[in-house]
Amino acid sequence: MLELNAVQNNTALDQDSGSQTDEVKELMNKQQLTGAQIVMQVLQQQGVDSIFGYPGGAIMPIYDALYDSDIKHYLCRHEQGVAFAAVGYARAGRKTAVCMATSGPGATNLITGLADAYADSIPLVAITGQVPTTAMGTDSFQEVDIISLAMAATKHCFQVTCVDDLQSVLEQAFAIAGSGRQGPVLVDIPKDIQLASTLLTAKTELAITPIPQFSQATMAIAKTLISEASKPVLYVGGGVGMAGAVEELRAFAQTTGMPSVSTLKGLGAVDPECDCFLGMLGMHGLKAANLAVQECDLLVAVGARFDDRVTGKLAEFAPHAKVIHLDIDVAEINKRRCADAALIGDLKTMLPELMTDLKIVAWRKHCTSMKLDYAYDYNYPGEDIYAPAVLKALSDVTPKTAILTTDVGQHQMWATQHMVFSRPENFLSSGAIGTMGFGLPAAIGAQISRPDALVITVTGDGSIMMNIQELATLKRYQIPVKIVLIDNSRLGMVRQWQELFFSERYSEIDLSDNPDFVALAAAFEIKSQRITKKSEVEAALTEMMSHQGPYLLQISIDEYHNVWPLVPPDTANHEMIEASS
Amino acid sequence: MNHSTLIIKANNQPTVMERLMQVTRYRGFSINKLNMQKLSDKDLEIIMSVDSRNPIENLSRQLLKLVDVVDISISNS
Repeated sequence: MLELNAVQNNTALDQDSGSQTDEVKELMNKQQLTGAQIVMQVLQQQGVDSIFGYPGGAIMPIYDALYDSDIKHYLCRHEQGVAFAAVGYARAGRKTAVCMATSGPGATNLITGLADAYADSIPLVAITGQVPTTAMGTDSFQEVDIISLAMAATKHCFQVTCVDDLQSVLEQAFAIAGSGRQGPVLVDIPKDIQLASTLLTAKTELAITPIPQFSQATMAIAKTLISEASKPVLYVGGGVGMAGAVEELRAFAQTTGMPSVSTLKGLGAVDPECDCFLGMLGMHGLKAANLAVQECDLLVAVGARFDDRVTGKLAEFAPHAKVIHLDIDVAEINKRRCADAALIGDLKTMLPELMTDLKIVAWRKHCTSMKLDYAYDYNYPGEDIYAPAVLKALSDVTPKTAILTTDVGQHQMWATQHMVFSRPENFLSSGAIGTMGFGLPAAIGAQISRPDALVITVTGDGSIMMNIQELATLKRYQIPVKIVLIDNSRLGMVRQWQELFFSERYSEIDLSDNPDFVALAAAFEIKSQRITKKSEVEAALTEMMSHQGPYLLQISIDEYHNVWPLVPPDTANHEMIEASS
Repeated sequence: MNHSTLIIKANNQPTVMERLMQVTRYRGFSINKLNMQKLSDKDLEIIMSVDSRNPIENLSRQLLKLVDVVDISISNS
């Protein structure tokens, strides 16, 4: 520990004595540490054992302190990869992750990852180096006003201008990131503060904002609404997983018997085996899910926020439904859809209280019938590989404990439609801001967070090129992530929209000059193969899954395959289109 | 258009005014009048009159989530 190193430099402390007296502890607590050493000390106190980062000039003192630390640092090959690896680590492990970068471009390269974490409520602490306080505000080399830039992409940001504040600020950063509606916090530390010395103190007692307590009167109203409903639907969002309320949600769904639908980030919260789980709703939602919501007379929204990709045309979303809205964040209430009963608080506490027996046999039967009637048909003529079928096949051979990450685009929507997710922490996808380039670094972070889990990333040929440099991270640490690359040599989702809504004017979507991905993988010493025929799928999946190290499976598909159904923009969810006319 | 005045108690931190302005703009509110006063070394009071088509709660609830915002009261006059 750094604390011990510091003590050893100044005193003859016998580390092997095993028991430290109060006097020795007191002495240790009075040792001068540099700001950089304080950073390492606080990280260890917070239980951090792995961090992601990229060094540079203004953060060199912290990297020097890291050199003596037990904390394992993972060097990604771009700061955006650093941030997404941290997001993957946090989401897969349900814990606060730490990422680091230097000032200027290092810090700005973190921003997309921070924005992603902020929008998806992921707890991160980002530490950035800054030019010395004496140089700040003078346009010095690699100086960027990162506080101003990060403000819209973080839950909070700090700039430390006095070393005596550093320990407390870092402790606050962890407390803020991990409490309430979680999110990223940035701590910007000028280089002279990293080098300055101060005393380490006892851990600061922080005043944590208490979780709001729901109103019992509103709870009674909500229970009445439920008992009066004949066609209720449970609308499950990412907040369930973030609250650790999966078991409570499953008990609620089972006891009430309510048919359920999920947002992208809510996938895995409802037991996928449940016959009344209708799948994802929204723009590329399953038909049964969208129709059930449009028909329902009560919508119980749990940790969800009526996002535009979920609701379609808002004025026509669930037009007959009263709404019960459960969330930890009061700012989500009435933001897009007014609630008839709003319960603010901890989902783990509220869901059991809301549990009510329901007699909705006919409605359940109707919903399960729709689920069967509108189930996908995976029969596809010809020898070409059909992406929905290959992802269904991948899902069938993937253990329940595996983690799947995706990038953004058609492959992402196909994954949500055709794969099964057993827990929210097993499905990591950039939901709110839809960031291409998320999948590979997030998978790296997820694998480091849960080394025993099988980690697969489903990506596209557009997305993977956004953070392709992270193949070097796979190689360096021999991280056994399996990459399933759905390759249509196009920016497929943009191409689909241009086909449907822009008169087939295909503007800047041709990626047919992509590199040879098998050769590229080989350059990083990653085993790979490319398949082009349906008959090759089974053997290829078997080979990939049985390979011990990282693997890239390139699956070539027809460029004209589209994602169906699709709710066109500003259209009600029941008016989805199901194929090209 | 809704007219409202927010009386905001906040910690006297260098970032707090900038963040208040950023959230106000992002949530679709325009500022008609703004007064900031330091009440003590630690405390600020900000009185801000805003216009928007959106309900004022859409802004006040977002502002109240900010770490350095301590309290908000709303006047619709």
